[in-house]
Amino acid sequence: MTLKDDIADLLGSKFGKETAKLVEKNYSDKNPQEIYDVAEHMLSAFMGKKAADATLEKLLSKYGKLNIKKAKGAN
Amino acid sequence: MMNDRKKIILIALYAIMIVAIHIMHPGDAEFYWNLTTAVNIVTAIIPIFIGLVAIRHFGISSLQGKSILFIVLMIISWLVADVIWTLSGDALVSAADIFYLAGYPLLMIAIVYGIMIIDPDILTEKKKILMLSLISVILVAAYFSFFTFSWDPEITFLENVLVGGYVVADILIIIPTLFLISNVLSGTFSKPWLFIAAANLLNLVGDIIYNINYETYAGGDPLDLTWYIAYLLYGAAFIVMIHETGKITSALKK
Repeated sequence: MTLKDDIADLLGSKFGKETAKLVEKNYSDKNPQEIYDVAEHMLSAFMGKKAADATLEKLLSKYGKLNIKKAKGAN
Repeated sequence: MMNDRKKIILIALYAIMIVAIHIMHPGDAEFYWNLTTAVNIVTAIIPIFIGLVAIRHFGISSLQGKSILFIVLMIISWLVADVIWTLSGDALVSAADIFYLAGYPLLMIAIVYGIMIIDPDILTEKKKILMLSLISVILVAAYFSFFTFSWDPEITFLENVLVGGYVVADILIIIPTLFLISNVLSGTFSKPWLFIAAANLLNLVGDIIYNINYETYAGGDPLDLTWYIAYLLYGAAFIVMIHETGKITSALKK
């Protein structure tokens, strides 16, 4: 599993299978920051910033070596 | 394709129409009975149909899809109960009660899936489950302390348990619904669940009024409107779910 796969699964569980397909098709593991940013944007709008940050924090802990910058105001 | 706002307006117009039917009481007794029976069936089929569209949209393997599926199963169970109850001729206890009661665990499963969308580990978080259980027990105890009419010595034990049992089940459903909404209040996910909470609240209000008036209640009573509008609110919730997630997914590269 890569970050892209995990985020596709995560967004698919909340927004439906088409969303998971779009992430798989249009995003690349070569640019994890882009995948993270779109996931953060969508999850914050969906369930509020606090819950979104907690969800992404848990997911990112699996990928310690990735250099992901969180959006301004993130914990 | 009709947009989501028009779908909600159509549901609202249908709600106004059924309210008018129950106030104006058109035709003779037989016509009115047939009309309200038809209203009952159509009103339950509306959210079932919208729910199936929503399940197809999200996919059955997604948590959203599973959550909607169990709400649809609950409505189907209650529709079967409504039909059995109508055929049984206003009996206080009948086979319909099995299907009415079966709806509650189905709705509870739907809410748990809803909570898992924001907190996938909820089932392992003993403190939260204990806290929700405690609040539920306190509310049920408070209900029976304040509403002593809930137990009628003139009817059988089973009749008492069933008449009052629905109110208890409604209270048990409302607590986790409010817990879910409070956790995502700043996100759009709370919007459809506000509709679901309003539906659950209407079911509670309807069941309390039924609890007080079950001796005089008969099919076609204006009280039915609480349950019918609750059905429509579940349908509206599914439309809002699709609409709100659709707005967010527009952020994705296409």
